[in-house]
Amino acid sequence: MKRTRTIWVILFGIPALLILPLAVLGSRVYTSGTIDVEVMERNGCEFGLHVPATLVTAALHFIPECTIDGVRVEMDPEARQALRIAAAVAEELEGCPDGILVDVQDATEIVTIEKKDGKIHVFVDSPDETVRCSVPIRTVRRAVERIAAI
Amino acid sequence: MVRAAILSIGLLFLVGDATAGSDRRWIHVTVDGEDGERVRVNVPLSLIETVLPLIEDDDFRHGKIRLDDTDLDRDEVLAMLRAVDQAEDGEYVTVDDGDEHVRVAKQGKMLTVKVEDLSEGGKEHVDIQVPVAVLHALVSGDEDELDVVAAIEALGKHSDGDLVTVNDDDGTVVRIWIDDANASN
Repeated sequence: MKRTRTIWVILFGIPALLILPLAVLGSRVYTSGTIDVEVMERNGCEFGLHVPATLVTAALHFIPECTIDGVRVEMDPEARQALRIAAAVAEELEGCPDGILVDVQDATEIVTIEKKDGKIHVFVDSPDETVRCSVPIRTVRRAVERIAAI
Repeated sequence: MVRAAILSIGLLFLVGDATAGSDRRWIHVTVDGEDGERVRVNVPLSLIETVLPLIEDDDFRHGKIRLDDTDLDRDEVLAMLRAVDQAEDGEYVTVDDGDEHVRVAKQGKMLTVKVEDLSEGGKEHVDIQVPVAVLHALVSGDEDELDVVAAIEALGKHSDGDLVTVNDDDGTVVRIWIDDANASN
């Protein structure tokens, strides 16, 4: 009986302990979304980047404080103000319904900024290239708050 | 009895959700140029109310414009607004100088300004409608200050409608309006 229990623990318990943190991490990565950047140039060059947003926010925690001779250097007041504004904009946009925020078109160029499914989507179509970029708004807010706290 | 109570509470939440969505007011700006240029901007008023107090400049702090170096006299402006608010509907200023027709009038709770270009070939036409309550909110702050945040809040309480319409000489049409929709038509 005791041996049977030991076998059950080895067969299912240990894998569960290994899989559970991975499942939690995967779930967090999935819910945080991805940062996507695609650039297609007219000369045929294409560039694509797809980064889990969790990776970006985690990396921000490794940014060291800026110090000179051990004394913490304060951020420029204008930069700090800009970050506060960016954080407030991101927080407000998180609560907004989906929709197009900016749409500019002329004879040669189209620029669209849209909020959809918790992300800010930027689309630029010009004679030289087409750019698509989407960032989870929550990631923007966390990144800005983290940078402001440095 | 219990079932009816639970149903009522559920309905209250639903109604609450429905009305919460309609509390968000949007300001829309559209620019349509003759050569196919097109600009659409849709911004929630709450975003402007949140961001304006964070901007700090020499003449703009906490959502208020300082009037120290201008000729604008706050008391004169207040007296003028009070007179406009209490007066009956009608035209207050009409200017016709051959090339231009300007009309400033009060219609209901709105102050309207219309400018029409009468010159040969002139097509410019400007229509501005501002709720008087917004102008009052603008001067509700301390002396020598215009409270822009209060004006934006007053604008949010106003009913849907056009604020500015401009038809330019070159065929460009500019329209600014406010409503509950998160997209411009």
